[in-house]
Amino acid sequence: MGPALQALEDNYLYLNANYDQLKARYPDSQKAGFATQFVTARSNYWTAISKILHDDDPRVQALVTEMNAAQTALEADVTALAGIATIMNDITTAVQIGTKIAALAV
Amino acid sequence: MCFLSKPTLAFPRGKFLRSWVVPLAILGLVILLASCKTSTEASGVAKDLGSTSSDLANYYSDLAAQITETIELSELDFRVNQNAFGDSDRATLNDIKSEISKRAGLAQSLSALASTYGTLAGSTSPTAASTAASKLGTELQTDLKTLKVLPASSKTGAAATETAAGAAIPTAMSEAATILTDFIQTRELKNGAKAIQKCVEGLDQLYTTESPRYEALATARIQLAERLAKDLVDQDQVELSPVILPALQPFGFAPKMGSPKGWYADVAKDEINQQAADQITSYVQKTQAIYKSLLKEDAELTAVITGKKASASKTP
Repeated sequence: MGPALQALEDNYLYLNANYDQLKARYPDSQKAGFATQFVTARSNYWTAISKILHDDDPRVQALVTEMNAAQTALEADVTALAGIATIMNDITTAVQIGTKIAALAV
Repeated sequence: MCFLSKPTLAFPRGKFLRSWVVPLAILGLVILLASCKTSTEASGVAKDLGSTSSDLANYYSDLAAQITETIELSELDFRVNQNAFGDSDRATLNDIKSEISKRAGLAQSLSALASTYGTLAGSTSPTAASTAASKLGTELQTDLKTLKVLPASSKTGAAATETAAGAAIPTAMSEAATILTDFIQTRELKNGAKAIQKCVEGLDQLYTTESPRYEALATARIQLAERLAKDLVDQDQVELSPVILPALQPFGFAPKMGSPKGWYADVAKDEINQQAADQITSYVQKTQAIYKSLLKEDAELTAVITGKKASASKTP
């Protein structure tokens, strides 16, 4: 499996597995925002499976490096029970990078 | 087919010639017995391969059904949690399902090939076997033209284009169709074994490359079902009395009707968590078992081709 697809899969499966826990921490006014991030991560992953991602494209490689770092930060912050503002920022960052990767799928 | 018929030639009675009769007869017997051994082994391989390819076809059909369930669960998730699920999402999942279904078809073709090979090894109806093998060769080439690998390519340019078109499906599989033609013409079991081995190697390579995807798709479906089941428990949409049935059934009692205790929901959610984890583990084990079976068949086919003992040495 290519690292780009792996990065998107890691992100989606993590949000899917920890959905309830993460959503519960979002303030009520922001819960819809969590749903948006989750759906986007899911869509990024499904797109990557059904299309082609060029892992030797420098743009993809750079984004995968960014995404892996963002995912590591998200998981570390969730484990460390960081503040919800930090978690929300981590999720948004990782998913946005994932969207950029998925956009490069052809 | 194995023939051990009685010799009909009258051998010369000369001493010199007689000295050659016994070795020649033994040599003939050895050749015939070797042929019988190949035929017996070929029949055995055909039977095992038929079983494995049938399991593989079922595995893919089950995975395709799981994609359908993912669509249904995602629609439910939209109703329960407002997680948007639109036509483009549905279309993407249906594309993935279509690719999985093609693999089920290929595995079924391999099963048909194994059956054909077994028939030829038994040699009761070589003409019928040849016709079946010819049909399969055509199907193999047709299927391969439209097959697309699920994981992304790691190459750009021409190589990636090839991947998209299905050429990244192991070339061994398209070669199999060519070897099948030889098999049909010569009806030699070893040639047949080579053709089948190409198919097995192709499916094995495809399966090995893609199996992490299969596991991830199944895992995501189970996680989604798990989450929705717990949501429905929280929303009081689930009959929870089954959680106390194990304590009552041995004594013939039934749960009391009425509102369940709050902890019923906790027990139910614990059970959902446990079953979801068990199902994911079970699916991974099932995926590994198929992989090992494919390796075993590959080794057995090598044994038929080379006449040496089978040994599956590759590791997942």
